[in-house]
Amino acid sequence: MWFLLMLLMLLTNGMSAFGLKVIAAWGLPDTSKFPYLTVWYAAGFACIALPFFMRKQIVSPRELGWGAAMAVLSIGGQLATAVALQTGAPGNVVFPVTTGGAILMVGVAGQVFFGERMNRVTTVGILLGFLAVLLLSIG
Amino acid sequence: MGTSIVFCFLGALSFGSCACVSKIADRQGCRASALISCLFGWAAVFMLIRTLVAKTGFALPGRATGMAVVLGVCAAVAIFAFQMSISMGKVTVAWLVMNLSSGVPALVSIWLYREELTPLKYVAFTLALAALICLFLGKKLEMQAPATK
Repeated sequence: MWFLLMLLMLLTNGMSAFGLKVIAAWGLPDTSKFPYLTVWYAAGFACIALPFFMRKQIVSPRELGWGAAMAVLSIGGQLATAVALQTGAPGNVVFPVTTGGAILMVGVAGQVFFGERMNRVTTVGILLGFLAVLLLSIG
Repeated sequence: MGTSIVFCFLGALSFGSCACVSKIADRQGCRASALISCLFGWAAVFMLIRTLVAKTGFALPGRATGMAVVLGVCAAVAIFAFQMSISMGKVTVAWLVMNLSSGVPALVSIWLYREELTPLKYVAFTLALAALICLFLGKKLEMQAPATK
C-alpha cells in the first residue's frame, strides 16, 4: 500500500504543477493564474470532499483548524517564493533554498519531534534525493 | 538581495511547517479525507478572494479551465496520498518523494517542448532514480525488521 501511495504521489503531484507552465506557453496573461488556481483548488476540493460528504461524514473542528493551518502555510510558502523572485533573487537561488530548506526542516522535525529513525539505505536515499531535488530546482 | 533571501527562508519555513502540521494532524487522529477537503476548501476561498481583489476578472479560456480541473484533481489525489502515507511511514520520506515529483514535469517538458536534456538535468534524474530505489529498498528492509523501526 505504501509503495502504491508513493508512486501515486510521484506521478500526480508532479503533473499537478505543470499547468502554470502550460498557461505561460499558451501566452495567457500572468493575471490568469489567479482564476486558474481558484478553479484548481475548487476541483481538488470537490474530488475529495464529495465522496466524503456523500458518506454523510462531518468534519470535526480540529480537522477544520488543521486544514486551515495547512492552507495558510501552503499559500504563505507560495507567496513568499513569489515575493523572493519579485525582489530580485534569481530562480536558481530561490527554488533550491525553498525546497531544500523545507526538506531539511522536515528531516530535522522528523528526527527530533516525531522520533523517526532511518536505516542506512533510507538515509542514503534521502541524501541522494535531497541532492536530486536541489539539482532539479536549479535546472 | 537580503530581503529576497529572507523571503526564500520564509518560503522554506512555510512549506516545511505545512508537512509538519500534516504529521501532527495525523497523530491527533484527523482523517485524511476531512483534512484535505478543508485544505483545498480554504485554499479555494483564499484564492477566490485574491482573484476578486486583483480585479482582473474570471476570464479563463475553456481549455485552461479544463486543465485546471484535471490538474487540481491530480493535486488533491497527491496530497491525499501523502496524508495517507504518513500514517504508515515517515513524513521525511513522503515529503522528499513529493519534492522529487518535480522531475516528472521536467521530463514531460523535455518530451513535449523538446527542451534540452542538459548534463545537470541528466545527473538530477539519475540521482532521483537512485534515491527512489534506495527509499523503496529502505522501506522494504524496515517492513522485514519492524523491531528496528
